[in-house]
Amino acid sequence: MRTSLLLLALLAGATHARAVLSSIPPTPLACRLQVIPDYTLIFAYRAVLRLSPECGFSQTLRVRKSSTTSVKRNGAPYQPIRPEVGAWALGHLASTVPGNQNWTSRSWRWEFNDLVLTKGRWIAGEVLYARP
Amino acid sequence: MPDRRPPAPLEPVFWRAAAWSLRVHLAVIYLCFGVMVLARNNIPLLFKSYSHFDDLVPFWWWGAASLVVSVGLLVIPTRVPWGLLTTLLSMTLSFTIGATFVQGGGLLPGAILFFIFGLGSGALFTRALWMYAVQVRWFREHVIEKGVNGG
Repeated sequence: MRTSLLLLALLAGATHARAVLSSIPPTPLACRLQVIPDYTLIFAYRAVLRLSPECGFSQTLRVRKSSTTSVKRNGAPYQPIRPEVGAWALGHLASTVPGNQNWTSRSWRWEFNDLVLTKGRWIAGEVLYARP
Repeated sequence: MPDRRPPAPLEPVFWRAAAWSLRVHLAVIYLCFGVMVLARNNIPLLFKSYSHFDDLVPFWWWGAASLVVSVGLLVIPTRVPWGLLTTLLSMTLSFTIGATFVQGGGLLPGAILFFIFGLGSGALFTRALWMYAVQVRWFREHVIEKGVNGG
């Protein structure tokens, strides 16, 4: 009798723990790049670059513009940035992206990179649209 | 001795010109708003006062509706019944845009402006309604001649 009661209590506890654990929201998304197309013309738009709200105040990401169609001879996508610069830095308050480079062709995209967050890989930025 | 006679009433052609001018002004305003919305269709993400526009429909719908109303105001004749319809559409759109401004960021100059445009469209609607009503024999006999209280 006592054993079955104990087992019942354990079962209830385990079920409750599972319910509690599953109700915990998943870990918040990591800091990432958000791209808002502005002045959307037919072939190009002016990208407004932002860090997502999860980013820390002093966080900076390395960003670059990269072609989605053209590739160089070794298969790497083409980027317009100068080789000695490599990428631009984007923070909440400051950015080294030149203003005229915000104009983006439809066949290009913005990517970001961080040694810790993305482990050095280039990941496409999240494109936001004003939709319900 | 100054002339104390009352001023002569303005001729009907003056009011026709005033109504036409108001109509063209409204059409140009809708055209500018629609082109702005379609060219910069992510403005609600960038500016606080526009933030409520994309909670209901995609933002470019507002630009498309503005262009439709603008073309309607310019192309469709002001006579009954289509004059009534276009001015009613214009009034609805103006008041809706003004109310959306209010909900997005409080009472803003944009909201006040669009409420004024809505009142202008309402004036045009009332004028078109009146010009239809005076053509109806029943209205002339029972309202204009007998007065509001039925004589």
